[in-house]
Parts: sequence; structure tokens; C-alpha cells
Amino acid sequence: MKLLLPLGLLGLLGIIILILIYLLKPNYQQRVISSTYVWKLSLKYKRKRIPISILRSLLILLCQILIITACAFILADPVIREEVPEVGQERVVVIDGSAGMRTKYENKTRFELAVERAQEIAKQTADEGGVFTAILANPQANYLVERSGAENYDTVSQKLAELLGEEGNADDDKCSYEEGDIAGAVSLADRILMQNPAAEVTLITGTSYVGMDITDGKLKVENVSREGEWNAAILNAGAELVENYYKFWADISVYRSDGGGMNFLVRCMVKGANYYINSEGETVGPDGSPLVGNSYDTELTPTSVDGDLQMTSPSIFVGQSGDVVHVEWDTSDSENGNIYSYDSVWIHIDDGVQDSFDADNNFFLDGGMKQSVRIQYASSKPNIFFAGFFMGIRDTLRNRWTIDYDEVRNGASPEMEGYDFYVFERTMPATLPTDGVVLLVNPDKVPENLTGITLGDRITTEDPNGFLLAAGEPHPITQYITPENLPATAYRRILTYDGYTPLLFCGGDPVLLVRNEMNAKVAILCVETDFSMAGITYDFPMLMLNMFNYFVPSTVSQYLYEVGDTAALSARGPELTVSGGGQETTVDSFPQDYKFTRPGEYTLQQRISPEKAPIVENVFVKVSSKESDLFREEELRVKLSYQASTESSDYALLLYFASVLVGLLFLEWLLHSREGGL
Amino acid sequence: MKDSYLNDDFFSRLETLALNLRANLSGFFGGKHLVKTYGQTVEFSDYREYMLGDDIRRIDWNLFSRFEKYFLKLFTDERQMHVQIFLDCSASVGKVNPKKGAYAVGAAAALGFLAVHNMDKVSFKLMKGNRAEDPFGVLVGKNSFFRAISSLEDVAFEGDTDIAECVTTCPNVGSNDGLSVIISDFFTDSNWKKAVDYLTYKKRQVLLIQVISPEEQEPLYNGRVSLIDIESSDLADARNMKLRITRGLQLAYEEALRDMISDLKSFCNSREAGFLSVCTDKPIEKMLFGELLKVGIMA
Repeated sequence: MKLLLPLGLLGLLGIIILILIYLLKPNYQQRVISSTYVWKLSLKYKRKRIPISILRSLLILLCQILIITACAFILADPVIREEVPEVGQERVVVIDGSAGMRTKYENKTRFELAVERAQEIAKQTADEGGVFTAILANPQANYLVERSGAENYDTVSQKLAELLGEEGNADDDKCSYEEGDIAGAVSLADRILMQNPAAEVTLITGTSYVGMDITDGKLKVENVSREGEWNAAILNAGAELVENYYKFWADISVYRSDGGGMNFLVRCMVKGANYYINSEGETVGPDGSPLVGNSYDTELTPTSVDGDLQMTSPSIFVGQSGDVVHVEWDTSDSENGNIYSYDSVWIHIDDGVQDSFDADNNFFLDGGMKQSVRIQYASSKPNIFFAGFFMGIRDTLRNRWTIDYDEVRNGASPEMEGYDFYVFERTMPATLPTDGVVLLVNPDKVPENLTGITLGDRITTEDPNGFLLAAGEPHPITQYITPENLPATAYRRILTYDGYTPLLFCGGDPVLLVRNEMNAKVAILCVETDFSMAGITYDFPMLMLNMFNYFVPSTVSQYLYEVGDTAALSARGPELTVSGGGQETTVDSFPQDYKFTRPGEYTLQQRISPEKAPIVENVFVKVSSKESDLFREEELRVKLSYQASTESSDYALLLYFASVLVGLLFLEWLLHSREGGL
Repeated sequence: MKDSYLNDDFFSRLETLALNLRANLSGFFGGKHLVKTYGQTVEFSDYREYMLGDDIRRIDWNLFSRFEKYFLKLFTDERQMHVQIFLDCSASVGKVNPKKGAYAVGAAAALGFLAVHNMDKVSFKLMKGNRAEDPFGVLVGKNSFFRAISSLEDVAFEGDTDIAECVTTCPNVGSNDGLSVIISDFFTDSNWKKAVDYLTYKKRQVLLIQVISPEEQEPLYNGRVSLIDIESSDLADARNMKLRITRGLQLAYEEALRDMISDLKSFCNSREAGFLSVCTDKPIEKMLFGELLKVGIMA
């Protein structure tokens, strides 16, 4: 038994105090009684029991001394050290699975070195008959093997070998392209320490970690970085439209173990410079030629480096390791071709530069070519509410879409194909177009190919406040609007609406119906807007904007992500194919979260209708800039808790002492009760 | 508020009772107690043959006609007794516990009332120190009795009492003429047995009534206690005690008290004296109507 707080034994001084209390006669309580005659007589009887009385008094004193002793020991926090099971040496290996571990030098990545070192430790442990644990610090740290004995060495070896891909193909390694959860992995190691505080924990990484546990030697860190490693990295890049011409920029840096700088070539190449999307949805150049494949055929010359004009040399010089150089390619310069539109820009470190970490050598600026949406509004009595709305969103959403708005005027026949969004008001065409979204407003009849709809009477009211609309089931189209703010004085009753979802009601009749299928993207609004104040309320443009976003959603909200980010994918068509990072996925329900696990360019392809060409968009996924710094130093904020296990043992012993104390207190009370007082 | 049992209601309930004294007492003329001697009452008792000198007017001529012998018709005699009540007026009886004193006075007054109610004489002997005071003299009749007990209520319980000395030196104890009652707690070192023996020698019927309080019967205090005897002169008095009262000592106390009462009872039995030990938590009526009836002193 060991005492964690030996000073608690000072409580034994209480025994001396107890004896002093016994020695010093306490004050007698005075009591006047009629006569002491019987008490004197009783003493004769009492004397007969003196031996038992003395024994009881001694027992009480003994109990009190033992109670004080037990209290003193409880204060001293006694523990019995749990014996560590004789399992020989126990080792825990944490393998860093961060993107930086993919740094390759002399044909071997840091991750491969780490795995080989882990295998060596596993072998050594098995030879000593010890227990081995391996933890992979990927973004989600997990045990590869947990407290595996020497008899399972083959399994351990196989599990470690499975971390590496085919010979020479580091892409298949189980090492991630994100930041590894080192803190989580060390916490997992701490669980092992709680069971065996003598276990040896080794973190194999390429990062220089500092921290209290490392200083104390509780956590052993083996750094697998090598002297010759270096990295030229594109940390970030972007495009700005300045006076109608694009200016591209990139932040470049170099990381070397010796702290030195480097001079290397960074190239900026443009695909589809000054191309546009024509009415057929094709991307064509100024001369009408279509865009073909990955033709990055326009190479730009840097126009400034860190603000200094450098018009001639494409080579970039970074002074010392860790410096960030800001490079610009301004296309307002005639030499760079006066680019006012583009499809994609590829900024990359020249192939001739053989650095150790290539995941940050390329950077794509996608989303340069905005998708085109064509809208046609046909009405026998044009309504400025619709024209105003569509012209408004053409300006508001110009960064996302190129919106062409056409209005059919003066009894001209509306086009029945070639548009993405058709609006027919009052006079309905004989048949509906099938290559886009169709919004029917206050229809006078049902087109032939519009199935499931039967129109009824026109309903009117003399009430100057009109009919009040009511919401149906919650729907993206009716979100953020208050139906009561859309009054109507006349509407046409819809008797049947098989296959449609009613979103708004008027007097119990549906007045807004929606259907969103591959060949039938139809919305029917049977309220007469020119007999309503709806158009001038806030809710009407909100309703139309919701409808536009519902039928014509953006595929992604941005074109640049980091590995590990999750994008909410939407599509105008029934399905979307995502290809990139060595895999291809088809998504058919939207919105759908998609997590990017590898860096590089991803292609998003969808088909709106069989008649139209597929829409292709690209997004770029970069690695974290932090991972580009191969020789960074980080503080490990997790502390290993060796003491936790011993504390739990202490507690168990305290319970025993407390039980003895309770027993002694009960015995003392029993003796007192037998005696009848002090 | 002063403890007192003496009121009209208390005495009115006693009117149904009477003292049952031994028949071999001689007493005085004019009472209501039947005695063994023959007298002039109308209640027939026995016959005896005529002897020379007998009054011929008492010859039963009917028997003469039958047996041709002279027989005298004898009648019972009724005597007046003298009831002497020795009341212990020491501090132990009533100073610490006034209720106990009132109880003792109540018992004395009740017995006195029964005496005067049955046309007996009664005298209250207040035992103080080593002499028995007789402040009221011999009381006959209820008027004088009630005058006396109004003063009896105010009796002071002080000092200690030597019962034997008080009884044996008491003048006019009388002989074979009534009942002597000693009311005390008998928590005394004096030889009270000598008093009983003396009264027995005087052929008086003797009754001892021991009055104790519940606290004396079962002490509730424990621990380290300095017991001050109320009769002690100062703290250094040998009668004072310092005790560590434990459950064991309490049991010893109870046993000692039990043995003491047993000793009193057995001694009284040996002297054909009555003995009664009462606790003040018992209603005085229960003592009078129950315990005294059991002893046989009441009828």
C-alpha cells in the first residue's frame, strides 16, 4: 500500500487528543435530587459488573482510536498500485495520415517510411513477446490493430502492409489528402495508456510537433522528413474582372528544410479564351469554332510579382522557405490577349520542376463560362409584372447565369422549342414545349399534351379585398412567402390535377400546381394577376424567384473547394454524374451532399432533356495550404493522462477504508448503546 | 402553581370509604369501630352463662325456659380509635419535587379525613429533624379537621428527618388504641425499623406509605453527573456524589430501589404492619381506592 498524501497521517494526532480528552475529566453536570440514598445503594450492585464495564470501556476506546486511524488513512489517500500484467513490452504506434505524408523523395513517400517503421516496431515488439497497437491518424483517427499480442503478429503485419498501395503507386495508399487528426489519434493512444501506463507511445510523422508530453518523453516522436525534400506550392489562386478584362493571380511559395529559396517556372494557361455559349448551348470561340477538349491553348505571361512589374520572364523567384509570392497575369495587357471570358484557367508549376509534393502543383480556376438560360414570355395581354421580374433576375443573377429574355409581342407565335423557361399567359398554345420548364398563368384552355388537368369555371368576387390564398404542403417554391399577401379577385377553378402537387389554394381550390419530371416540368398558376395586387407585393417576385431556383438550380454554389469539403449538389436534369479524384458517381436525388476526398479537377455532367446537349461544369478541389508546408512546426495540444488509471485505483481503496470506518462507527455506537451513554 | 390535592371534590369522594382497623384494638368509647370486646350496642354477639355479679336484667329468659339455665345475651362493642399520621417533612420529600410533597400531604389528609369521618380521633405528627411536631393536636370532627389541613398544605419540607427518633420520642403515642401511619420516602440512613418496632410494641396498628416520584423510580439523566442531595449541607457533604451514570448503573439503581422496597415490605410483613409504595405519577385516587384496599386498611 502506498500513501499519495502522507501528510494526511497528521490526522493520527487526533489519537493524542482523544487520550487527552479521556485523561482530562470533563465537567460534571450538576443535578439536585431528592436523595442520593438509592444511588449509594446502587453502587454496591454496580461493583459486581466492573470487569465487563472495563472491558466495554476499553473496547470503546479501541474503536475510537481505530476510527481516527481510519480517518487519517482516508485523508492520506491510500492506494495499492495495480500490478501491470506481465505482457512484456507494450508499444503504441501512431502513423500520421495527413496529406503532407505523401511527400515523396528518392522514390519513397513519408507515409511509406512511416509504415515501414511501424512494421519494424511491430516486429521488435512481437520478438519481445509484447503487445502492439497501431493507430492511423487520418481525418478520422482509428485503430488499425488494438493491443495485439505476439501470437497475432502475422495479422498485424498484414494490416500494416494494407496501408500501402501497389508497388510504386502512392495514390492507392491509405494516407489521406486532408489534415490528419493527430490529437484524436493521441487520445486513442491514451486509452491504451489507461490500461497500461507503461506502454510506449510513438508518433511517426513528418511534422515537427512540440508539446509538454513530448518534452517529458511520454510521447516519442519519430520524424520521417528528409533533408532533400522540398515543395513548390500554389497556395491559392483567383480571377478578377477588371475593366471587362480578366486578371488572374496566384500565391506561390516554396518550402525547404534548409530555409533557402528557389527560382522556378509557373505557367498560367487559359482554355476557351473569349469563348461564349451560343443559343444552342454550345461553347464557341469568337470565330464560331467550338471548344474542343482540354485545349489550354492560351498561355499568359506574368505581369507582376509581388507588385513589381515583370513582363518578360515567366520564372518566379521565392526568396526563402515559407515566403509567399503573389503573381498576377493581367489580360488587359494586349500581349496577354485581352481576355473577357474564359472557360477554365490552369495555373501550374512547370513539369520540369520536380518537387517532393505534387498535390499542390496545379490549380484550376473553373466556372469562367456562365451557363445560359433562355426565357420566353408569351401573353395575349402582356403583364409588366412578369417582364419586370425576369429582367430583374437577369441582372441579379448575372454572375451565375447568362439569361436571355424574349417577350412575344403583338400576336406573334411563340417559339415552341429552344428555350429553357416558357411562360404562357391566358392564351395557351395547342401543345406545350417539352425542352424546358413551362409556366402557365391563368390558362384559358388545356394544351393537348398537358395531361391530368381539367379546367373549370372562372370564379370572381366583388369583395374589394379579393380572395385570400392559403398555403398547401411546404415546398421550396412557397418558402419565405406569405400566401395571404397574394390576393386575387378572379381565378379559374382546376377540377382535376392528377400528378401535380398543389402549393397554393384559393377558397379550397388549388391555384398553383407543380410537376417536376424529366419531360414535364410544369407549373400552373390560375390566378388572374392583372385583377390582383399580387404583382406589387414582395411575395410575388419571391414566388417567381423560388420557382426559377427550383426548376433551374445551380449545380454547385462555388467552383473551388478544399479536400474534405462537402458540396451540396443540385441539378436541372434527373441525374448528375460526378467524375474526378479517380472515381465516378451518379447522383439522382437533390440536393445531395458530396464530399471531396482527393484533390484535382472534378467534372459535373448532367442532361436537361434528351434533345439538348449535356451541360458540363468543372470544379477544382485543392489540398489545404497548411499541408504544403512540409517542415512546419505544430504544438500538440492533447495531454496524455497517465495518472488517470492510478486515480481510479485510489478510489477503490478509499471505498474499503470508508467501509471499515462505517463498521467501526456502528460497533462504537453499539457498545455505547449497551452501556447507555458516555 | 402550588400542587395540591385537597379540595371538596377530593374529600367528597372519600366519604364512601372507611378505615378498616384491627378488631383487637381497645380504643376509646364512642366510636364506630367494631372491636372484639362486648359492649352495649344493639348488635347481638354471643351468649354466656350467668355469673355471680352480672346484671340480672340482661338474662335471656327465653333461653331459660328452654334450658332452665341462666344465659346472658352479649352485644358487640364499638370504639373510637386514634389515628396518628407521622408525615416526613424532610427536604427529600417535598423540596425538590413539590408534587411529591403534595402527594404525601394528600395521602395524610385523606387518611385523616377517613378517621374523622368515622368518628375517630386523628393527629398529624410532622417529623422534622429528630422530633415530631403536633401543631394541630388531636382532631375530632370534620370542622376541626378542615381547619387543620388548611395549615397542613403549607407545611415546609426542609432539613433531614430521623424517623426513629421522631416516633420514639413522640409523646402521647398511645397504646393499643388505633392506627399509626408513617408517610415518607424512606430515603434515609436513620433506623426507621426502630420506629416500627416501637409502634408495634405499643400495640398500635402500623401502616407505612412510601411516596416516590417517577424520576426516583427511573432516573432519566445519564453521563457524568454530580448528584447534589437536597438534604446535604454543602457541596462537600458526603451525601453528594459524582457519578458516571451508564446504562449499567441505571440498572443497578433500579435493582437497588427494588430491593429497598422489598426490604421495607418484608420487614413490615414480619411486624404485621401494612406497607404501601406509591409513585406520584399514579393518581392519588387510585392509591386510595386501589392500593389501600389491597393492603386491607380500607373498607
